[in-house]
Amino acid sequence: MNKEFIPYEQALALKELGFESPYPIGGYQGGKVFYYEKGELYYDGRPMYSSDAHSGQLLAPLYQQAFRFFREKYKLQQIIWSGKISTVFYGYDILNIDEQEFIINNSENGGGECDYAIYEEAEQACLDKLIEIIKNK
Amino acid sequence: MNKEFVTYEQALALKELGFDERCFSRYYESGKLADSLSYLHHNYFGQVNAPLKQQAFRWFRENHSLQHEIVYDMSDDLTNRVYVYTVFGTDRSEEYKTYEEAELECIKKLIEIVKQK
Repeated sequence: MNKEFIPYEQALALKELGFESPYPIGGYQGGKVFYYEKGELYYDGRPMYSSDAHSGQLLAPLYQQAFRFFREKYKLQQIIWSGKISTVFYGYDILNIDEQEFIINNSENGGGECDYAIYEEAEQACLDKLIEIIKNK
Repeated sequence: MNKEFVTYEQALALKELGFDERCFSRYYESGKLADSLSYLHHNYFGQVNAPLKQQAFRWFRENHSLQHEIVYDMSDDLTNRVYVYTVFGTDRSEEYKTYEEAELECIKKLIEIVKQK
């Protein structure tokens, strides 16, 4: 279950960047909410909106929610790509949608430090980079 | 439709293809998404698990070595902003107006590829 959610540290950073909506996971009545408390992931079993959150609780975004947040709020689009030489490797690029310009173009730059053995590692590194880009704006 | 999940038709197709993971929600036979906790239970009679989109993509990657990319078209024509997807080893898709549309069409394509194997 945990692998669906971004890590606690990234969830904290996203909150600082304005990720406020509960984005509940689930159906028509608000859905279900997962949250971090003291760094641990919990399930509440009911809709929880910002005003209901107990002190110290932090909404746990899904990876797809985090990337949507950057796409919609900051117009930054991630591309997780794969390549193969002797083994499969993964990397990421980041595009500024409004400017139609790559901010990070690892695929053009030939890999190296930007290559990851598994998809999830590339995804996490990409999220870290997105957070860094917005923080440094 | 809740944008976190694959569609009802895709959930059914994924089940047929062998997707059997626990999910955060499920679809009723009517095609409506349930609103109660389903993660702790595995299967409900007459209902089908509703995978998250990211869960579906991971399943294709890990079980069928199918990797996708959804990219923003960098056309010079700024009024024609579109998304396209590619599944590794196949041609680029048609153009879609939104990321979410491209994502759902990409899942449809992945299902089709596995069905034809």
